[in-house]
Amino acid sequence: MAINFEQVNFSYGAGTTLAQPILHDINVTIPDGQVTAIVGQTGSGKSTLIQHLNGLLKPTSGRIIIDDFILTNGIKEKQLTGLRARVGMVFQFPENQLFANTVLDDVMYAPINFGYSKREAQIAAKEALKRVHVSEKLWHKSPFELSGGQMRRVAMAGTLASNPDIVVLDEPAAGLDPKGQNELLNIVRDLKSAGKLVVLISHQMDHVIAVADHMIVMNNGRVAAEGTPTEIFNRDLSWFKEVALDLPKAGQFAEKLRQKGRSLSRRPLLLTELAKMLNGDDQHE
Amino acid sequence: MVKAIEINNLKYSYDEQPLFNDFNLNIEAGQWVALVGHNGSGKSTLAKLILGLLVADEGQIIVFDEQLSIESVHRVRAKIGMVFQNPDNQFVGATVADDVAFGLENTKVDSSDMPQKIDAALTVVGMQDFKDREPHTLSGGQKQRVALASVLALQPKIIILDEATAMLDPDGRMTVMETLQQLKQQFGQNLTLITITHDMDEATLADRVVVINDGRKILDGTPAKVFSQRRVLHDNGLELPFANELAYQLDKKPEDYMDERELIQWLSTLNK
Amino acid sequence: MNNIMIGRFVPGDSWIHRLDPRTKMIGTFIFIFVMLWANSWATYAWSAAFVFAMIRLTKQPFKLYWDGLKPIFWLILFTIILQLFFTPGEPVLFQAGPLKITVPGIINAIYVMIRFVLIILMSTILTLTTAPTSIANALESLLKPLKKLHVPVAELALMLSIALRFVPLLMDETQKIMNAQKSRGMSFSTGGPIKRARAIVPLLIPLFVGALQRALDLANAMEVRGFQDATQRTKYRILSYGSEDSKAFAGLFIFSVLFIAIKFFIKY
Repeated sequence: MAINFEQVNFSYGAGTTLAQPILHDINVTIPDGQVTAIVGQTGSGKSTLIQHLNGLLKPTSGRIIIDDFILTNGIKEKQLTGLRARVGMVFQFPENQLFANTVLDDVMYAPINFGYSKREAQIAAKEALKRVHVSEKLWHKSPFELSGGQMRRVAMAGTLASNPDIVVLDEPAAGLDPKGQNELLNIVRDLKSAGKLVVLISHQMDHVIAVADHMIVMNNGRVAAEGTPTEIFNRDLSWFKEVALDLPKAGQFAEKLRQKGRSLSRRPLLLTELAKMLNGDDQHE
Repeated sequence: MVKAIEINNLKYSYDEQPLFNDFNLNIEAGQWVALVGHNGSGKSTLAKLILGLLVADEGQIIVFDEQLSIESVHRVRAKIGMVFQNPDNQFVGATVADDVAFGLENTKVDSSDMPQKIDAALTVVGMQDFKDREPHTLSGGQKQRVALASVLALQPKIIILDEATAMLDPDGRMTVMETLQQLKQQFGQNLTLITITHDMDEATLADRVVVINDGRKILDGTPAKVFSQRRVLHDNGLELPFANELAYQLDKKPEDYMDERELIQWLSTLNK
Repeated sequence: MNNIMIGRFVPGDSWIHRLDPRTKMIGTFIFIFVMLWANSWATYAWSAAFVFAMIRLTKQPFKLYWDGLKPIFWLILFTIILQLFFTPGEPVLFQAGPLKITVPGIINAIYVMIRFVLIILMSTILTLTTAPTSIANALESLLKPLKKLHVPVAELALMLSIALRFVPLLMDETQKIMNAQKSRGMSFSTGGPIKRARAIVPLLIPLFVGALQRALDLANAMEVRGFQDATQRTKYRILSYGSEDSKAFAGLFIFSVLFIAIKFFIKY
């Protein structure tokens, strides 16, 4: 179920005088059964990249292999329905997509579109709502009566209900409070342990380090780096400036300490790791 | 001390659910106060009540000696500027300059005085080179700085930012916070700043932190005092700022409260 | 990311940019009025020459205007086809049942296309070089006489300028919601007309809810910035009619006189 980008280029308005090239020569593999974080500053091409995963955009040239599905420029809209059932996409602020009279109806929308019977769709929807911890009391309410955080989770359930093997999340924690953010990271972990391939776009490096197994760094429409978070976050400081990427807070803090003359054996990426290092240093006194 | 905002025995219900019940809060002129709480804790509602965008069921709200009422609401609003969460939904003008002009037009500023006032306000937030730009060509952080300039042009005594950074990327968030710090430096005691947020690293910049939950004041005091209450913050769905959480997890802790810069300084001199 | 150019303003410092928006607005109407009397190759050529001269004066790349035409391509095509097949006359070049293509039909179709394109280009010049606020101000100023009839001119003008400001935002939003629902398996292109109409509901409701939320937010933002009454406001962009505007009208006058001359003396 891995995803392969092979020599993918993408331009808006390709073939016209106004062609705006966005993605250049993308060659990456998104490994199966893992959480892959796609990071990079606003406008680096992250969102454009993920819209290729379920054929909302088609590559101008090159191809994307998603399991046994090959997405090229020539693919017809009708052929994409099957792909979309397998690749669930949760956009930024997904609560903006809610429309139905009840929470349950809204979550049933995708399964019904993908050919489930009404009964099957209802079972799938209930399962998805449980998965994202939406209380049963809310199922028959209007989605517009819910709080922001609840709406967000209902919208996620709306994508998970068709039980996709691949789940793509664009900035899922944006605007949530600390508790909501943690709940969301837990949902990402649950999805992974359910065997799904998860793709996560995030500006928050602390979220990336918390859940990601693999990272793709985008810069100016190109892949600037690919690897495990430990590999990526241990690169030279100057590189982070170059691609406008932040370190996780612990790494930033450690680098500031180093600048003040404190020597650290390595660059910590988690707060607990940094605390342990500082505590360990103290013992050697 | 001059009181900028005085809230006495405020009661407010939403959908027949009491949100504020006998709520009291005084904010001194010139202070920077961070109002923190998880989503749905009532902190944004409070801002709307202060501006008269919502009407309280009972109690008083007094802004610089003027009690808020139907009759005084416009005079009260003239003293307060507010920046909202969504950068797109508060951009009224077709261009940056037009947006800053909107408030000036409402307050009947002379047309001939406007260009100079607009330039001045945009310069404070570092957006003077973007005067003719349209909103959709700006980043979220830039739009929020324009919103801040639009408010500044009206020379308010109080500025309230209601989760103004929640929808921004880290870069935009940083520029807005830097702008705020610089603003506070420039206007000092003449500007009362209220930032409503759930980002605790932002709250550390304030002089005073007020934690709200279910319409009640949970904690109130200096960052030193509030951030010593790790347990209470957790129970209310909040976290410590990074530096304070780190200090908490150290075996050998600093005796007093330290912000990030102080902690780095302390740790670096501890053993080299 | 959207390429819709209708109503879009591109700031600049050309002679056209600096004209009083009222001049541009009235000028555009006069031009369109005059051009509707065109009935020969020569008159159309003269009108086109005028429009292209104006485009040059805006100092904007022609590409921008071309983009302005693209969204209405289908509308133009539709009218052309209508003209092509349903204009009676001789000689008939092709006939199939009630449909026939005649020489006057072809000529008519081309005329209509030119007329259409020129009107769009001329209005694009207006919107491209005039800030929406200025358009609203100009409208307010031109419609002032209606105030006596208790028409809320100031309110309407403000509404117009805000509506124009939100167009790109709503376009963007539509695209986003469409992507979200397509990802959930929505399909516009299959099924009968009823099924297709129903497919739009998941698009329209979020769009409507979102627009309503924006409206509420905007109302709050306007109120806290001191908005009370649209009629009791000063203006940042002051309308000032100057000598350049007189020159513009003089130019338009010369265009019209020559247009009439061409119409009556050149028979092509």
